[in-house]
Order: sequence, then C-alpha cells, then structure tokens
Amino acid sequence: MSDTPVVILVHGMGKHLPDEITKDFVVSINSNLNQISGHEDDNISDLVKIVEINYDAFFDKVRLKMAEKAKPVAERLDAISQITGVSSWGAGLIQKLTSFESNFNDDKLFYTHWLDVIFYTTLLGAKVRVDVAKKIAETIRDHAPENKIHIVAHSLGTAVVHDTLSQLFRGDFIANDDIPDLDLVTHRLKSVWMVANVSRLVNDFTDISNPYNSTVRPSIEGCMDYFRNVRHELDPFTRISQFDPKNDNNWVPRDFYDSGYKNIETSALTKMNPHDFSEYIRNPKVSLPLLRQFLRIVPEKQNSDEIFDNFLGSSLAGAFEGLKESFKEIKITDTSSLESFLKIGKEFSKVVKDFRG
Amino acid sequence: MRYLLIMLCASVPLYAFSLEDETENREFVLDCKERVSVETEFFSSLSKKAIEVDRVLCESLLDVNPAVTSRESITDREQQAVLSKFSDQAEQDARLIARNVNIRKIEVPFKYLSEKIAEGDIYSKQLPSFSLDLVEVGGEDIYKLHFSNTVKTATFRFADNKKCQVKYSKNCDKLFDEYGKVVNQYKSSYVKLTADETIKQLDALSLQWDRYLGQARSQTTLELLLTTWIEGSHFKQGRLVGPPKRQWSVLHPSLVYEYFEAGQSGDEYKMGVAVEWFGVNWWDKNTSPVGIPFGVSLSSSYNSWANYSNVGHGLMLHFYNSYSIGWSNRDGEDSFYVSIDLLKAVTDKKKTFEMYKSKMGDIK
Repeated sequence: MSDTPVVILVHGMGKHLPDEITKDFVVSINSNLNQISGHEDDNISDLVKIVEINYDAFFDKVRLKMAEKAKPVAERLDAISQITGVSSWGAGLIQKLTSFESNFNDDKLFYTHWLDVIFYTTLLGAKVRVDVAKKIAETIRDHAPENKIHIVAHSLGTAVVHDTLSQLFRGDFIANDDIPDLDLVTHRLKSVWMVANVSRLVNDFTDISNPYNSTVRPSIEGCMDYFRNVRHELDPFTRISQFDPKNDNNWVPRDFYDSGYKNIETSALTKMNPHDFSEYIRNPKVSLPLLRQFLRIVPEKQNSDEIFDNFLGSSLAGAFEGLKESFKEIKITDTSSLESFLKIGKEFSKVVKDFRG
Repeated sequence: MRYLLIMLCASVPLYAFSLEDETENREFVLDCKERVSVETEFFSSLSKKAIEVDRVLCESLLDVNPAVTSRESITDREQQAVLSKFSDQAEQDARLIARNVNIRKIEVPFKYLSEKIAEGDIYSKQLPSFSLDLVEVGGEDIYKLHFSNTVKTATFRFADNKKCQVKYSKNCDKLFDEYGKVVNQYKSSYVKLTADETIKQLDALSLQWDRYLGQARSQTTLELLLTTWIEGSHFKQGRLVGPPKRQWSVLHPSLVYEYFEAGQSGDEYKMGVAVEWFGVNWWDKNTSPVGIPFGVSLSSSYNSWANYSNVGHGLMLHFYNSYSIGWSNRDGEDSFYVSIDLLKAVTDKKKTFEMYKSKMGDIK
C-alpha cells in the first residue's frame, strides 16, 4: 500500500484543456525540485499522485450550447423584425441580448474568462460544487487514510474549492443522515493551497459562504491541518476583498494560526503576468514550502540560496517596477462587486497584453 | 383553433442535453473481514489491533454498510473498549521509539487521540489520523507528530533524525512513516464507507442537475442570474444542493404561430415572436403545484396584422417544459398562439416547425 501523497489541482478562470494545469504544475515544481541536491533526476509526477478537477469543461459546454441555441434565434428575430417592422416594446433589447449570447462561442477573453466568473455566481455554480465535492469525496474514499490529501487551487478555483469545502465539511457530520457531507477530523485534508485567492471577492457577490467564518481553516473547527495563502504583490485580483485573516483569535485561535496558517507573498516576475499559475508555482517562495509540505523535501541552506539566486536571475529585470506603474492606472473604487472584478480583469488583461506586445 | 390543438397534441421530441458525463454507478465494495494489513517490520502487534478496530468499526456501521450480512451485535461499550486498547498500544509503541530519540511531550498527541476517539456514537465518530510533518520553528527544522491537531503535538529535532538507525536501521522519520501507516489502518474502512455514502448522495444530486439541465426550459444568462437571485435561500442552505424547484423567466423570446381571427390579412395564422417579460416555471412534476411541469408568464406577441396593432399583450402558459400556449389582446381583439421554446429550436426543431407548417397546409 503506497503512501504517496495525493494532490488535487483545481484551475482558475479561462479555457483549460485536460492535463493543462497538471503540466503547468509539474514543470513549475520540477524546475526547483531538480535543483535540490539528491533530486536532480526526480519528477514530481512520480512522487505524488495528481488528481485534476476541471470544471471549465462544463462551463464551456454551457457556453457553446447557449451560443448554438441563440444564434438561430438571433437570426430569426432579426428577420422577423424586418418583415413585421416590429421595433417597439423592447424588441430591440431582446435582439441585443440574444445577439450577445449568440457570440458565446467566440474565443474572446470575455467569453472564455470572465463568463466563467459570471456562470459560477449563478445556479451553475451549485452544480459545479456538487461535481467538485464528488471528486474530492472520491479521492478521499480511494486514497485516505493511507495517503495524505492536499489541494492546490488557483484564482476562480480558490472560490470553487472554498465554497465546495465549506459545504462538504459542515462540522456536524453524521454518517447515516441525509446530508452529503464529510467529517472535519475523520476525512480531514492535509493542506489546502489557495493561489491568487479570490474566495472573499466572489463571496461578496454570491454570499454562499464567508471565508472568515467557514470550516475552510486550519484548526479543529476546520477541515485541514495546513492552510497556505499565496498572492503576488502585483496581482490585482488578490487586492480587492483580499483574503487576509489576522492572528487575533477571530479566524482561528492564535496557536492554530501559528502552526497551521501561512501567507506567502511573491513579487518577482518571469512572465508579464503576475496572475499566472505557473508564475506563482515556479517561484521557490512557493514551491519549496510546497515540497516541504507534500514530501518533506528541504534543501540545505546553501542549496536553497542557489535556487533563489537562479530564480531571480531568470526573472525579468525591471518588470516589477514597470508593471507596478502600469497597474497604478487600474483604479479600484468598488472593492466588493462582481462588476469591479470584471472591470479589473479587463484592464489587467489590457496591461499584460500591452506589456508583452 | 383546431390547428392549435393539433400542434399542442403533436409529439415533439424532447431535446434533452446532458452537460455531464453519465453518472458513474461503479459499486464500491468493501468486506469488513478481508482487510489487508500493511507490511510492517516493527509494529506487527499494533497492526493486528488496528485491523481489529477497523473490522469492529466497519461492521458497526449498520445503516451505512448493507454488504455485511452476518453481524454480531457490537455495543458502543465494546467499541470504546477496543478503541481504548488500540490507543494505549499506539502510545506504547511510540514510547518505545522515544527511547532512541528525544521526543518532547510524547504524551500530548496520544491524550488527544484517546479523548477524541471516545467521543460520539458510531455514526458521528471523529477519528484522527497520525501525521509526521517537518516544520520550521524559529529557524530550526523540527518533526511534529500529531493526530489531526497541529497544536497537540510531540516533537523531535531534525538533527536527531538518524538516532533511530541504531536500533531500527532506519531514520526516525521513516520509522514514524511506517508507524503512521500501521496506526491509520484503524479508520480505513470507516473513512471509505462513510465517504462512499456521501458519494451516493452526491450522485443523486448530480442526477437531479442532469435532469434540470436536460429537461427544464432553456435559460439565458440573465435568467440564470435572476433564478439564482430569487431562489437564493435554496443555494444558501450551507449544504450541497440540487437544482431549484422553480425557474424564472425574463425577456425570453420565442417563435410562435399566432391565430388572429380579426386579422383579415388573408391568412389568420402567422409566424411571429412572443416575448415573456417575466414568468415562472415549475420544471419538475414532483415539485410542481399542479402535478406536471407548468409555468406562466406575462408576455407580448409581435406580428403584422392589417388594421391592428403589431403588438398584443397577454399571458403564456407552459406545459412539460416544451409546450407553450399564449393569449394576446390587440385593440380589444383576442389572438392565440403556440410556441416551442425558440431557444430550444435548434436544427431538429426547425424541421419540426416545417412539419407542422406542411401539416397545416395539408389540412387546409
């Protein structure tokens, strides 16, 4: 019976083909793992079992189905409008809305990224949570308690994971009741890594579960031993409604905060996108604690310094200051609405594109 | 009106689309008596006890594990007794290791374990797992031993890791890994059986969602948002849920065949457009107030009739999520129409419309 740790990966917004986040994770971790003395030829995919949860496939089907259905509707509405000459009583508005949905099969950023966020805030989010919960419960059934189970979620995936865990681990488990849940202790997760955590921001809109009051915390009232929150200093999505629990006995008791919680803030850039999953994981500030947590692999001090030096050497000189200046243009006035999230997303994409271009 | 009735009674193939793969119905089988124990060099006695506890807990889950037929009646007191003995043995074995390496506060995690497993009845057991974590405290690496509680821990220094080599020929961390595998066997069946029970419940919810997405009326993004908002209390129950009982419509366009006797345009039947301004649909017959999927909307119909307004206002009624009939009033005159949800009118439905059209022509 193998005791290989199990890592559940949950992607963020945008198009995600099967295995995509797994590849990003493996390449990013290996870039540091292979610099650790004694692990030069190791591959993280041989050392942990990776389970990928892909909810984008469902959103994609909905998106394309809506477009497929709306397109002929839009065409017919247009034709009928011309024949009948009907333009009063909201017909124009209906035409616009239908035409909007008929473009859902477009590959534009709005349809592939931000629509995921909108979809998640609707009832489709409840369906996603059931699917994600099922996958987590299956992983626990098939691998626990022999294997420790960790979750790494990115961006919108942090909200999906947070909301799902808070409903799956309610804190009042009874094995033979009719509530589909798991126990905080018996089915406990080893660690949860929230990379570019937007769970508070999304909850401001959905009001599904407040991350400061849910069971997604590293204490006996929570469902995991360790909680790691990872954010990049320039990632605008983590600046609004930031997840930033204080060590003041409110979120978790102080001793649990000290032993179970860590906020990891990164600042270096190797790509011009501080929200990028690989960008986060590739940073040794993230991947070294992750290797310690999952596999108890820790480089010697000198080795660790070399890994950091190599990483900083590969980062883009001056990128931080340049990007910081550009992000100053993104004004965050309303910090608790879906609209502001979408607005920042739009402007953020523009800044990143301009920088790359 | 007869054409309306013909159309209403016509059999329209339901265009059900399932957005998820079919729910897996893989049967999870677990035999309480056939549990395979882990290989162990140093903890064989503890392993036997762990397997015994595992069997007792497994067989005690009467409502959860119907596969067990020949049950002995295991009382709560007997369960507590075997759990307590197991906890004692687990502590003894850890203390044997502690003779070789200095473990601080070795009693702490075991006190927590014995207290925790004594709580609750068989259906609400909280069974902690043993863990060995390598953490950094004050710039020093230390190993932390605990049972699902990162505060109730025993510790030993990273620098002392090799001290177990003398007696056990392996480092202390590897020894505790073996120990952990042996100890955690005690809860294996309980974890798997109870998680599987939850998976069955989630499967049922998944099926409900598949039915909703496949059978209920198509919704636009705006309608998804509206339904989520109005049915908010359903989604905020703090638990995983299936679809709502009701769907809400807003600004929903449909292609309709309209009958207007006063039309006098040479043909009192015309294809037009109906728009539902606001409406509700009970999509599931099991929760519908009238025993069948049923909905009602405030609506307007658009058409060009000689001497009458292009727009009429009235109501639409929906049946079985696919059929709609409507009534409009134009300048004091009534018109009636039937609709197949335009958003469901993909290729197949277009053909269906053509069929209706030709049938209507034949009958005339």
